[in-house]
Parts: sequence; structure tokens; C-alpha cells
Amino acid sequence: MTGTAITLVKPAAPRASRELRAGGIIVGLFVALAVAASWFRSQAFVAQPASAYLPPFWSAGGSAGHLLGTDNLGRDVAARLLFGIRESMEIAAASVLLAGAAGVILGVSAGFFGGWLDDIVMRVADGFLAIPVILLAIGFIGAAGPSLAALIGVLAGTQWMLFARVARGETLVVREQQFVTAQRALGARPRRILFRHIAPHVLPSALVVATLNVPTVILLESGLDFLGLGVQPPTPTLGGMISDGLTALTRYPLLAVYPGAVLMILVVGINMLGDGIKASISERTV
Amino acid sequence: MAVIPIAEAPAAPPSRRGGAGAGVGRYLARRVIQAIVVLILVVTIVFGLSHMAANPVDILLPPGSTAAQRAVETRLLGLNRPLAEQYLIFLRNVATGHFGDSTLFHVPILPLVLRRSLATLRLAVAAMVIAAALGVPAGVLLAVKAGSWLDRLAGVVIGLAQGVASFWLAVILVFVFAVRLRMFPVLGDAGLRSIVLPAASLALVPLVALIRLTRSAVAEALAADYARSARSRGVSRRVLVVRHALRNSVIPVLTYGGMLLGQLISGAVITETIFSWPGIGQLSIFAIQNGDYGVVEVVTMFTATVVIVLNLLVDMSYLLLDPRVRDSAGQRR
Repeated sequence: MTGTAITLVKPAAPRASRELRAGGIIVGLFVALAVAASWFRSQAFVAQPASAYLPPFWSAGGSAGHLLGTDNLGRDVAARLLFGIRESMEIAAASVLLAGAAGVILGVSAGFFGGWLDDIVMRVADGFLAIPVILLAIGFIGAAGPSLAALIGVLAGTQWMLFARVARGETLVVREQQFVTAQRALGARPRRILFRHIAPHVLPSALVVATLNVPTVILLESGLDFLGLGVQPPTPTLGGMISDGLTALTRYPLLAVYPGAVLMILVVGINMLGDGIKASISERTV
Repeated sequence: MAVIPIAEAPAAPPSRRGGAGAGVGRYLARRVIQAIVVLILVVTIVFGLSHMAANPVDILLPPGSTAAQRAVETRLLGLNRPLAEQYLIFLRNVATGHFGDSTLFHVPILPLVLRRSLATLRLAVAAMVIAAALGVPAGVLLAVKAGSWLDRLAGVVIGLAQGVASFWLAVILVFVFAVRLRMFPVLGDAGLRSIVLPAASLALVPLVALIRLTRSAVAEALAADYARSARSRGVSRRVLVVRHALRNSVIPVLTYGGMLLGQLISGAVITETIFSWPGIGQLSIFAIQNGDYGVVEVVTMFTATVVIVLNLLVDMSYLLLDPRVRDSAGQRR
């Protein structure tokens, strides 16, 4: 929304590519950190607990062995942050892929075939949209029990409607274009038209929705971790670490600051990447 | 990220018979029926979830119960009946407001949820007041100063704010204002001072959205032809913004307002848990942790109903506020 207003003042191209580059660098760094996390698992300072509440290296009593200090159980905070980043990114990626696949298939079918199928899919989407996401998630997890599969299913269940709406809208437009009419006149079967001619036109917008959706899912997932409904301890998560930090707030407030700050940088980076992709795609089509 | 749904149906050619009045009536009737269908679907989704859940017999009976005891309990709960029959019974109970007792509090669920929803409503209204009082003026200011250093700085701050988890903000607020400065109480609902911190952390998401929305709507209106012609007539900037631009940005802001409540209730679940605020959010977390699924079901259906009714009212208010919508509603099939 900000983007459209700013284009009135400045041409879009340099801004879009700058956002794309900055967002790409941040996200790339986080991916590298997530990969590095698996190497750290074997390191001594992760495996063996030290004394609790060690300060970070820059303050008195801190050491380079535990760069950001240790938490209430003597676990290395920096290493836990790395594992938390990986957890967040993996779960968000899996959920958005699942939501995207389900939403695009449902939305394209609804838009292409129309009729009762369209009515059912879109009204069910309305029903899901009417339920506040956290309550939907609580209901799902209450029903299925907390597990990784349930968590990914829940997150996808709260987001597929966005993809379905966009995919349906795009399909309605593409369906009426002349090349589709021509295919139909040539006797192409509906399935061929769907996969060869409509799906390729829907995918770019689905990709934009997906990149812009990842930050939403990351924040939602860490909210569930914070509430104790997501990934179960002792697996480190950013949301769970904020929750741990809350209980140690008077003693060691930095414990709550680190994971939230990491979360912020991660989300802002993906947002920039998403805006950049969106701008470059709309540039190409315009 | 706020996705604003735009009226989906393409404008149909004007109908031959029946004036705009009859069309508006038909449009309203269609919207109401649509809302009722969505409500029934919500109830169905909740029914589906409750049947995915662990067998309630296991929760209600102590471990080591005999098969006979389990059979009695199953019959008592109606779980031995066909699924379709259970669904119809569920629908009937929803329609008549019979939701049974909370297994946790041993009181009827519906009055419990209604009573607790008042606390959530107070929190949501306080957050909305904060968001609107700061967000709309800020958005107008940024639109008027579009492209200035202030606008660019605000863009950076808003970008960062979108990455702030509201529960993280809550934790930081607690540390700064309750633990360090001791200006506000940390927990519970004790008068005006205790609502400040939860409402402030809940206001973050709608505040950011309102600033962006108002900014882009006002900027768009200011760039429109009618604004340019008004400017060329010598209309002052203040009059232009207040009389023309702001009035034309009511619709997108109002549309967001309709969806805002759902978001606020979502946010309230976490905020209430942090601040021990006695609303439906805290209630549902407490209930799910103790296996009291009935309460969560009722909270879900209740909030969805409120969201659906509110969106219906927002749609209807377009008819009053925007003559263009009135005309196109009259022309729709």
C-alpha cells in the first residue's frame, strides 16, 4: 500500500531493486545462520550446561565461550537463538507451502469451474476468515494435540483462504482471455487448459502472496510457541524464549530482548524481500 | 498485512425493471443470507474440530474405568449415534443456546463467555481508541508531507514495527513501565491504570495498519482529478484534506475496521494471558490447557458471530455513506 503511493513521487525501479537486494541479503544471512545451527549442535558449549544467567561477553563476568550469556538453565543463549531461527523458518516455509498448494488448487478450481464448487469453496473460505486465527489455531491444536505436523497443519489452515481468493480472482480474469477461448475452440480438454494455460498465470501472484505471508506465519507461530501451544520445550523457539524471558524479567531482562529483536529483523527482512518481488513482478507486467 | 477485500462481483448491466430501491433491498437480502450461510459453516467447522478431538470420554472418566462405565458415558454424551444425527443435535443446541456446563468451572458456558467477553470488549475498545486517535492523524500528516524526510523516516519505523510481535512489545512494556518505572500495575484488571499497558500492546497492529491505510487513501485522494481541480479553484489545503480527501478515505478505513475486531480478538488471546486480563482470550487458553473444549467452541462461535455481524453492518454502512455503492448495489443481479 505504501508502495503505490510512493510511486507517485519517485519511479519504482531503483526502490524495488534496493528492497529486493537488502531483503535478499538479510534473508540469506538468516538461512546461513539456520544452516550453521546444525554444526553447533555438536559443540561443547551447547551440549554441556554452564551456570545459569551468565552475562553476555561485553559485560563484566561474560566470556567469549558464551557470546550472549546463558539462560535460567545455563544453556547458551546464542546457540538457542540459532536453533530458534531454524525452527521458525522451517515451520513457516512448510506451512506456507501447504497453505499455498491447497489454496491455489481450491481457488483455481473454484474460478475455473464456477457454479456450486465456486460457491462452496468461497463460502468455506469466508467461514474460516470469520474465525479469529488464534482461536482457530487453539481449536485445531486442542483437537489434534501439540505436534509438529499439527502445528504446520494449523498454520496452513489459518492462511489457505488468502491464496484461494487471489488464485480465484486471477483465474476469473485469465479464463476470459482470448488465448483460453482459442484453446477451447481448438478442443483442448479442461484439464489441459487448467494446467498448461491458467496455472502459469496464477503462480506469480501466488508467489507474492506466499512471500508476504511468511512473516505473518512466523509471527503467528511464535505467538503459539509463546503460549505453549506450538513446538514443545526443550526445543528452542523464538516465541518460547520470549516466554522464558518473561519469567526472568526482573533478573535478566536481556533474555526477553534477544529473541524478539531477532524475530523483528527476520520478519522485516522477509517483508522487504516480498515487497521487492512484488514490485519487480508488477513492473514486468505493466 | 491487511488484505482489503474488494467487492467481487463485476457490475452487471442495469436491470430493466425495478428502481434502485428494489435493487438495494435485494442486495441487502443477499448479503444477510450470505452471512447466515457463513455462520452455519463456522458452526460446522467447530463441529468438525470437536470431532477430531480426543475422545471426551477419556477426559471425563478417571483412568482405569471399566468398559461398561465407558459405554454408559458414551451413550450419555450421545457419541454412539450416527454422525449426521450428532451434527443436527449440535445445530439444535447452538440455535437454542444450550451449550451445557463448563467441565472446569461447573457453570453454564454461554453466560460465562458472555460475562468474560465484556472485559475483552473493554480492552479492544481501548486499543481501537488508541489506534484511531494516533493512526488517522498520523496517516493524514504523512500523506500531506508525502516524500518528505518525515514520511521517509516514518516508512522505516513502520517497516520495523511490522516485525514487532505484539507479545514481545507487551513484555518490553511490562519491563519498562511496570518493573522499572513502576508506573502501571503488571497484572489483573484493577481500574483505569491497569488497562493502559495491555491496550497499548494490543494497539500496535491496528495502529500500524491504520497509519498505512490512511496515508495511502488520503495520498490517492489528493492526487485525484477532483482534488486537483479543487486546488486550482483556490481551495485551501486544510479544506481540501478535511472536506475532500478524508471523506473519500472513509471506505477503506471502515472496511479495515470491520476486520479489525477479528484481529484484536486474536491479539487479545495472547495479551490477556500476559496481563492476566479476565477476558475470553485468557479464558480460552485456560480452558484448552485443562481440556475444557466446550468453552473454546463457544468462544470461537461467539467471536465469529460478532465478526460476521460487524462485517455485515460495515457493508450496509457503505450504502449510507457512498452513493456510488448504492447505485451499483441497485444494479446488481
